[in-house]
Amino acid sequence: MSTALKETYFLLFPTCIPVRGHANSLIMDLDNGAFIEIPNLLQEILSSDLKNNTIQQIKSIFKNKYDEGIDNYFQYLANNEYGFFTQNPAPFQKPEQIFYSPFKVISSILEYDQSSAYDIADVLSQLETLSCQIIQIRLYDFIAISQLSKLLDNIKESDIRIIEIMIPMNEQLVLEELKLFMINYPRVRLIIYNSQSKKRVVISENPKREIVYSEHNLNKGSKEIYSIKSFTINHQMYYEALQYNTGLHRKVCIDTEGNIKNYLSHKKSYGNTIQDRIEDVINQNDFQKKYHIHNDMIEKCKDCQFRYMCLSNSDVKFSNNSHHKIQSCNFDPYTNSWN
Amino acid sequence: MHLLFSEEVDFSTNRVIDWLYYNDEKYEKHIDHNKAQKDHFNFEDKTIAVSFGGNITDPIFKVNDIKDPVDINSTWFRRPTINSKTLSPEKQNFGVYPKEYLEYSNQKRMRTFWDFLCYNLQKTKKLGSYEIVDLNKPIILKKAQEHNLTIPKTLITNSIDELRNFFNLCNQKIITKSLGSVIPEYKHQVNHPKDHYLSFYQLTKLIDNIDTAPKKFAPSLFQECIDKEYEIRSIYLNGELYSACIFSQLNEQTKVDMRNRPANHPTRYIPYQLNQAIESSITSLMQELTLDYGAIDIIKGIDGQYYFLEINPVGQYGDVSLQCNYYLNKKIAEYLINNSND
Amino acid sequence: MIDQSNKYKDLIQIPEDESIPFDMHYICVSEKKTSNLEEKFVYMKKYRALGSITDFYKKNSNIIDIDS
Repeated sequence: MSTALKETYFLLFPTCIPVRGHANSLIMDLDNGAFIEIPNLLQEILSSDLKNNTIQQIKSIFKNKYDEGIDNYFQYLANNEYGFFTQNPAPFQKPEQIFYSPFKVISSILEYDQSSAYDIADVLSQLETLSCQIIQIRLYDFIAISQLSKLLDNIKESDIRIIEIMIPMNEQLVLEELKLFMINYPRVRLIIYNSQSKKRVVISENPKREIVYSEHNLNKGSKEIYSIKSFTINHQMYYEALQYNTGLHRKVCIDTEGNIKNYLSHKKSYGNTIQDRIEDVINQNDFQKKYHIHNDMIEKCKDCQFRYMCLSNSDVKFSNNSHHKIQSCNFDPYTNSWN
Repeated sequence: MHLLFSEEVDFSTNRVIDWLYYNDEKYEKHIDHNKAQKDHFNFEDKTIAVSFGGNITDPIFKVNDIKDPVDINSTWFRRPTINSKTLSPEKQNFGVYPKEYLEYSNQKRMRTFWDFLCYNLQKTKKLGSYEIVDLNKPIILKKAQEHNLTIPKTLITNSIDELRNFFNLCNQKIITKSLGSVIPEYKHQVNHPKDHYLSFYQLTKLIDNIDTAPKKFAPSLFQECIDKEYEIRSIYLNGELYSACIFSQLNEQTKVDMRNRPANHPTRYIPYQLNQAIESSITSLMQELTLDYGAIDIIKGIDGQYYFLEINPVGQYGDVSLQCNYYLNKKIAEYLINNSND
Repeated sequence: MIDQSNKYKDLIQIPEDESIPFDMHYICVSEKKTSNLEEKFVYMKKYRALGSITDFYKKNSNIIDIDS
């Protein structure tokens, strides 16, 4: 081997992050929003100090048992642009593992039905003031589109990015009217549940917007769904997940009775919008406690390779000296299989 | 109040506003008055007074709204456009003095006034500069060299013979780029392919055959083509450098200009630590130019040398900030807040 | 962006002249897909400008399976 090769280092791009799971590992590619699965042994190799050890030295750290595998994998990773070879690794730094958000509320979910007595328009304008970026409105009873339009008119010039509206199928939902509604309110994502058939009506291609009809039902007992296609891989999500519970961090939810919670399925309520301002409630230390309990701290999740891309709003309980999600998912990181 | 000089749409300004808003700070946005909406800040509806000299011991700089003083704590010249209103048509019909002459004289005076106003704003806490949107590329290259930065071999000429000599001197591989600012991007609607338009723009162009090149041309900028290991973009912000190595040599197209790449093929950025000597050279260059902000392009050649290319004093920092997790929007907002005049 | 100036040579003809800089003969052209800007950006009071809508870095909740 030539001297040049002897002095060669292999580095991963810092946006390509090896994540170890109990049974299997992966590399998250934050730039491409994708991942590749890798064996745990490769994860171990990639997590060794690549910047201060030449490939030669890395091989000897692993007692030269995997020389050929290391060569092949490094070449594969370089060819597929997950990493690169360099003679001089010193100037390359890792990004600081920090996350800050300029939004006092990042996300919010509102539940509303016939019995709801809280002022949803007022809640929306409070959320606007708090810079809430994404809102989901779960309607358990039908509301006329004209009424929804009136509500949304108040927040037409807000910086809310996405308003997801889930509404039960009803004969009053006329397609032409819905299309117009979607065009007039470009932030809206419309999901019509309890539909007889599953379909999508495309409103525009770029950006992709559609009215989604789903045969699923939605009620207070509905549970979150976990699957590979529900995962999100990007820079902010990753850095947030290292420090925060990505589901609950700066989320505020209002149930049908107006109770202010971290998430709808949580037992604990911290106030009620009928008499409390949302800002006062979310500023309580107690309300913010769950923001900080992230997947690395939670049993099972901490052993899962998907922990920095998975979003769960489950409550977290503390028992036997450890944190547990109350609503666990159907992936088993110990067998690397979905149940 | 923080006064932001920007464009009609600039997402970096939006992100800095997010942080100002988060800190409960007041801010106003000033844009080209031809595009301004009613919620933009403008000076036309204000009264302005600046007094100094003689035995005035307490010089005054005040900007008043209808009744209240406008309190400007800091100013960010992100993308300053300062121009004046033209005379309204109903006020143009008098006398024989040509209205273009009148307009010209008005504009000249107003320009001087706006410059003076911004000069006074610059004395408050500020970031960026109203007068510098476009730097003189060849002057910057010369100054960079004076500050011990290595620059590529450079030629400015309108002579094909000089160009041919330079081409041979540079191993028959040179680049050309605009001497001043690049052409404005232009969108041209077409029917085919369907739903597409053509975008016209300028990149750094490799010249490896001089015989097919134009023979007659106005003075233009040429540089030797540096075989690069990678590119570095450094964001200079008040004495700090935030650098990123940009890996774009992975495919052929991006070898000369990294913007030339397929849309779905992301460029990889890595936080990068420039060596002490280069950092202090850049800092002293920026100080000489009295710039507190700039996006600086550097190439690391395969010869191991770092080549300074140019400074864009209103360049974008968004990609470097996001990919390297530098939080520059937050840092800019905090700089404006912490350095305020109150 | 991929430079397709070879394909559109005739659209960027600039005469050779002592008053035209060298680099002007190398204008690039790219085909781009028209996107409906109005649907991606709307006027937002906070920014006194257009701000982006329709995408965000994370989801709110996956309560109904609509991803398929």
